[in-house]
Amino acid sequence: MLGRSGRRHTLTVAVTFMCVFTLIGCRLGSKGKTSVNFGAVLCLTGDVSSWGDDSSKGIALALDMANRSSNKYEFQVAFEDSKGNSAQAVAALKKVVSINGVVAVIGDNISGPTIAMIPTLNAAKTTMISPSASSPKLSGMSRYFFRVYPSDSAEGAFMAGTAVSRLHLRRVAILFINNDFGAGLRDVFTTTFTHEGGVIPLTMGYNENETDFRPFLTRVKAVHPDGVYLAGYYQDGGSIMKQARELGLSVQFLGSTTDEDPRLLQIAGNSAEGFLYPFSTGYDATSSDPAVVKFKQAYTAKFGKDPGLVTALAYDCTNLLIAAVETSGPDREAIRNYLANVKDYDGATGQMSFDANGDVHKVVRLKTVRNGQFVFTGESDTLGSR
Amino acid sequence: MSDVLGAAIISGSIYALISLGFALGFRVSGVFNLAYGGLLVAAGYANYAFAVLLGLPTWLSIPISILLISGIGFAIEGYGVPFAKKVGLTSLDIMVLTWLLLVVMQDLVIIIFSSTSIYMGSQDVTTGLTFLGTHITSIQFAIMGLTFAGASVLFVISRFTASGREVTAVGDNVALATICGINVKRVIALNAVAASLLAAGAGVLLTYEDRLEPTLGMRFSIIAIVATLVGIRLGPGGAVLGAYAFGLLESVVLYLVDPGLRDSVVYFCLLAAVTVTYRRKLISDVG
Repeated sequence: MLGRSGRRHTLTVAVTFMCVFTLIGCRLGSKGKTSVNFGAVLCLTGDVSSWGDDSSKGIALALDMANRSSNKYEFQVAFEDSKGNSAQAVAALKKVVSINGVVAVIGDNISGPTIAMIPTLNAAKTTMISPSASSPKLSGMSRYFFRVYPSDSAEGAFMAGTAVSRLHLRRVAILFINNDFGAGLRDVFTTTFTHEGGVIPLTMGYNENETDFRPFLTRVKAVHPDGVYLAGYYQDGGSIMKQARELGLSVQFLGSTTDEDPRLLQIAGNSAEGFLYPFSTGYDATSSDPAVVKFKQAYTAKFGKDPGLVTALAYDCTNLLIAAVETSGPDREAIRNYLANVKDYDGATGQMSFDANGDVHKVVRLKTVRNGQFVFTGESDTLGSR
Repeated sequence: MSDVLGAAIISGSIYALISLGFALGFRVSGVFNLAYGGLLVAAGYANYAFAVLLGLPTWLSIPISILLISGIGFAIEGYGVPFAKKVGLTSLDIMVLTWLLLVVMQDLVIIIFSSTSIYMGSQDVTTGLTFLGTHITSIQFAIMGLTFAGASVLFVISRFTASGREVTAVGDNVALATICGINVKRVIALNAVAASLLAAGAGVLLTYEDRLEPTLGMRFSIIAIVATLVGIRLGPGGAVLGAYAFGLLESVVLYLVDPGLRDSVVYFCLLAAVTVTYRRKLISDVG
């Protein structure tokens, strides 16, 4: 029989072995591969939950493909729901960094929560790459932040330039959603449009849960603009164009890349015909580029339907992190340094490079709605890159 | 100015549609049943689920949705609220409980439908017919017609029929109504059925007029409270008048000041309506 000190000794040895085996189990995944954890802080519920849902599918697909091809690493992801809320996003980021021990994070889908996470990101010295946050405020905010979605400053400036030089619009009213995204687009569009000689007769912000835009459109009608720039989300754009048609307001509507969603067409119906927006995220589902074809085929095989834009963006985010780990190892600083040096990466959303601010550079093209479809206005409309 | 008047007519019609069921329930129970906003949202989404996700024809999905959701409404208004009163809960306690029900219903819709906006109306969007210098669409005319018809029927029933007088009696004083031989349970049940059917029907109709979001339930409930309190002296049908008054005030403020102030206007009107309606009680309580 063991004495009290002997039992204590046995217990200590047992606990030590358990800890060692647990750690080994965490580090070595199936078939002896090293486990690498990524975090994903996304809008899985809330107003833009469809983006969070699409993103999670893109991430899952990229990890699935990487785990089948990699001999060295077993990639995993810890999903957390930011609910599109800044406080929730910060709490979620703290959890994945400190509890899940992730080496890099994907997130968030919208700008507000992403901006809120930056201080935590800096403190943790962990790289984060966003699939769809686009506020100009995020440019250069942190050396650990990157995004595959272009900044609104480029998109807003492109749309303003197009409005003046190609569409010859002189008076454009702005309707923007009252958040970082909407205000960012508003500011950039206003600056560029007025600098090029245009006039902004009216600028109005609306709340995130707004569905009745008639009071806004009544005032827009009173200032007789040539066009209306919509700095908001697809569902708002759909409602605005529908209600404008019902009220007899016939002007050129301009928007942003985020408007490319089938639900805009469901709400707006034929009132969306002729709607123009810049397409700066690079994903062209009709492309024969091998990276796009590979992504589409893999997604369709796994989920049984065609992928959308946000799915492709999240897929690229994940693949960039996987490439960073495969090249530089699962080290937080090494991942950051790898991304900072990415040039002409060929992803599902086109060729991309990151600048010193963590902003992606892609080609911007003009798209429109024609016969109920989102289409490019023509190959000659490839107007430049940033 | 004609555009402002037009906006007021359209908004007022939609608010009237939202308020009729609530006003009917409030007339008998005297409780601000906030769950009505949730019923409106749930009915719209139920119709979307049956028609779009399950592929049922509209003539079948609409009655199924209305019956299903009005069944829930009937359980709340016909059994839940009277039971809560019976066990001694105050009107304020019950209002808080119905608010919790509203939150649960909205969250369920969000979980099931992932916050997807829904719109069931026509894809062929056309400019509305010119009416009083503004443009009103056919579905908006239908909403106006239905609310006027609903208000007229409620007004006639409450003033000129025995059933209407029974509802008024139960709403004014349950104990006295019981002594007078009125079957209070039957009145409450029938009233709850009518109120729930109106709320569910309104929710379904709204999705054919405009986009519906799962989180709009609370705004619907507050609009219904304001409209009901403004038209309270005219009975349940008075809510229609209250809704148009509210729609006019809102349109003028939004046009003259800032359209982004909608939420502020709604809450200011709620404060004003509650203060004016309950001023005597408020003064006596302060005194």
